[in-house]
Amino acid sequence: MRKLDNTNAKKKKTGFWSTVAMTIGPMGIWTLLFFVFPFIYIIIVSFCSLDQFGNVVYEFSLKSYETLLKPTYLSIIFNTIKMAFITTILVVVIAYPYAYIAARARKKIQNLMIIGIMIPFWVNSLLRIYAIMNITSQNGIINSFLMNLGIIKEPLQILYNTPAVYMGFVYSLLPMMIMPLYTSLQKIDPAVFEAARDLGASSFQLFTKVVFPLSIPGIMGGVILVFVPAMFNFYIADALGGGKTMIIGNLISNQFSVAKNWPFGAALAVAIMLFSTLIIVIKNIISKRTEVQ
Amino acid sequence: MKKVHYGSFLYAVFFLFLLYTPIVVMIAYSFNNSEIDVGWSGFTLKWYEELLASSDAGKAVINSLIVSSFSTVISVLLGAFAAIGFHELDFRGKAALDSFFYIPTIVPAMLLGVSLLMIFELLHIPLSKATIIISHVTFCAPVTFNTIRVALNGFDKSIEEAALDLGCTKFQTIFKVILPNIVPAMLSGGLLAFTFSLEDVLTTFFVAGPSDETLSMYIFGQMRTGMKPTLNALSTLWIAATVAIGVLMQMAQNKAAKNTAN
Amino acid sequence: MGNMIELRGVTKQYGDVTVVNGINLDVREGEFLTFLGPSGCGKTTTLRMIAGFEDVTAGTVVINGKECNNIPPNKRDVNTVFQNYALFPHLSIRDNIAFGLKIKKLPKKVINEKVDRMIKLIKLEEHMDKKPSQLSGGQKQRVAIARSLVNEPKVLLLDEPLGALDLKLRKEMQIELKHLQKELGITFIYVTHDQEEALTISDRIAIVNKGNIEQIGTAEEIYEYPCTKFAADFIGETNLLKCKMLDIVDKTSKVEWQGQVLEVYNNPRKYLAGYNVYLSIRPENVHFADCISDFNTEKYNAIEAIYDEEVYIGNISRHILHTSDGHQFKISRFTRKGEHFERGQKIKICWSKKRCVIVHDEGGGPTDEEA
Repeated sequence: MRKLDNTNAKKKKTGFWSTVAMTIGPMGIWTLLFFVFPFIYIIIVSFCSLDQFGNVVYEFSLKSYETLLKPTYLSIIFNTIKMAFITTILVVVIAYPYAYIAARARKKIQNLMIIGIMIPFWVNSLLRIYAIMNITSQNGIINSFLMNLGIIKEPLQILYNTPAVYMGFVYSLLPMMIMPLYTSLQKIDPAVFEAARDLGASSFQLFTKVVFPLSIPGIMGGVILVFVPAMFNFYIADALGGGKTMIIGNLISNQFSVAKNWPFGAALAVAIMLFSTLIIVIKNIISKRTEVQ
Repeated sequence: MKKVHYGSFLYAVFFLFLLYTPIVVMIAYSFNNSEIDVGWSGFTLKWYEELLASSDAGKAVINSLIVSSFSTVISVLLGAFAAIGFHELDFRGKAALDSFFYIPTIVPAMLLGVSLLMIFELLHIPLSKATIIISHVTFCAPVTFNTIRVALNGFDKSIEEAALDLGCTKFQTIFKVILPNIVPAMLSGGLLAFTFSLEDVLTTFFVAGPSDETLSMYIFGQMRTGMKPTLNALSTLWIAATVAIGVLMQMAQNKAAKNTAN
Repeated sequence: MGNMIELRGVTKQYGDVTVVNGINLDVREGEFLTFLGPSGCGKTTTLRMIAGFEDVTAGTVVINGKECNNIPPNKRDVNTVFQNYALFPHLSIRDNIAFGLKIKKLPKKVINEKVDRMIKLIKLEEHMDKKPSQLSGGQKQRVAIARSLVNEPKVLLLDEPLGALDLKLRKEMQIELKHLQKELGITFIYVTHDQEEALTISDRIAIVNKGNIEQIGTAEEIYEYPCTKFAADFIGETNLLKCKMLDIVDKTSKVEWQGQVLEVYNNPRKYLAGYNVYLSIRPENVHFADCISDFNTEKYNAIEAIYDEEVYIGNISRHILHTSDGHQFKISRFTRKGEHFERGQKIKICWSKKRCVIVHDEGGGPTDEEA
């Protein structure tokens, strides 16, 4: 009897492993080969240096990280973080009222407002950027409209500066903030609003003491979806900044496409990856805290 | 039931107006006879003709279709198998592996592209459509995996037991009961993967060979050199296609919801 | 008639937790047997071991004379009706019912005939091309039953199949199920926690508690002659007096309660002197001594109780009292006009020595001796 049970268990075990190999195996191997392995490699390369022919020398070196600390590069990193930060704040400020109105509207209007946000989101983000360039260019519809009205005589230079880059980021990242915000605002029981009112809260207090705290998980969800892309999306900086605004995305991209300095590019990537992880960790801490409350 | 303030109504309308104006203007201009974008100078289809005549654009479309189709099919297969495995098996560290599989979609696309480029060069793999496909699958498979897994999570375990009870082997259960029920999820996951693949610039930029320009890369290149009416036409076509895909996706999801509403 | 299912010392353990504790059970061919017990008592696990969804930790499951411990569910001659129906959402009603036959690769003509007959039997002809999501709960349940029955299993296992239905529909389905079973002559094993359902539907009931079968018998047997405290309490309502067994003289068992000797005539089980037992008296068998014309201590046990309150439920009144040891005592009797008692009033209550049973507590098995 005991023996029989044993063979049975063994049969089950082999069945288990062959099922694993057949089902989860391919995905696991793929992830290992094309995700884990490359990331280990990029970390290794970031601690290497270049010889005079531009080949990677596989010896431990902190040269790339030293380069990274040079004022020129530090200022680009700092500028990237600053831009991503400002972009995030702009997006929150602009997205919040819309998400709030949508969450509090009647079901039908709610659906309309959300579909209204999602449709442009389906359009390729490159094309959306191109569309903005289209109407804001020297002879675009905005300039010609203003000139026809006689408000301005010369076309305005809207594109190819830092505000244009902000405009592009905000425009393309708005839905990323609206969706999580809307979801968290919509979850608030309408009775909570009435209860707060009943207990004597003014509109302002209702917002600061009830609505805003309850929407923090949503904001945090959106921050990740906005902040990180805003550091990397080099084509927005490229196309709308006219090459004058450098973010870390451009810098890394240059190391691989033009300068061919892999160790430095890798070091930048590792550094910014650590920074992104930090952001995610902070986000998780804040969300956990607010959830517990 | 709730009071709608005129203020909030205006805000919402103005918001959507700003969101849509650039796209609507772009679509309108794709039919505009004038080369420079000032004013309306009559309806034309010449930009579409020029676009269709352009061999570069045509090649980019074909490249994109090849890359995205292969990426989608591979992603759906990988994702479906893995999701079924997760559904059928229980083992220690399952939850950890689950979230691990999802990381490639959270990691900034650009870093994925850069690290894959380095690996390809290290292993002397020449950049080609294949390298683009490999890269796309890496961030698309987690999406299909997740979509199918969510669908299977809502799938009643006793339905599988019923199949066993009625004489199915474990294998037959997967093919006769589980697979038919995750087809909608495979479709919507696949469409999601397809659009992600089609849209991608930040990864493709690094892993594409010189003659393997995808549509996104083509648009990126065109944008850098300034405004072109053919790009308006291309955008319009793209928007039409993505809206069609989006509608399809919604339909697939609705069908899935209807089936699982049982 | 032979035994269709035999369970011999069937045990199920999850780690250190014993869910089913060495159950022995014979289910006769063509019988409608119900596992009745509270949730978590192991009744569903036992059913799932018969179906083959759960491995048996110890003991054997014999189906139709064949040991089945290592036979997978798809090879067993039993079919299951699941609590939540478990219909295949992607298949039409027709294809759901035909599923098992198609797996067995029967000829198309045979499949069609059998499925048609089954659909007719469950009266869902108009709905046969619909998807499960378009049916009501009762219809889904009928499909689930038909899907199993069409395979002509030796045994049909039903796991709280009516649990999701509303009360009215449940009552209708109970009767329908009972008719169906009689008509087809298939052995049914039914799991429920609803005692009324069990009483309505079953030929025999197995009372399951904490992984053990406490009693098996017809509804009447269990109601009239429960053998454990749990069985007495779970089916219907009862008053339990904690007693000590004294002795048995002729056919009369004597117990001691609060210093008073109570007698039971013809108790189905004989207990050894000195053991702790309970005396179970159904509320409808208790009377007020003053209201009975032929009251005498020869025929009746009588005790004193203190009156608490009356609960009026139509033609029946329930009187709540408590005994000197502080336990509640319930009496139910037809409502009589003008009958009134004061709270705190001492009343002599009595019951026939033929209408009470001595039972043991769980785990009290060894203390008794079979009658």
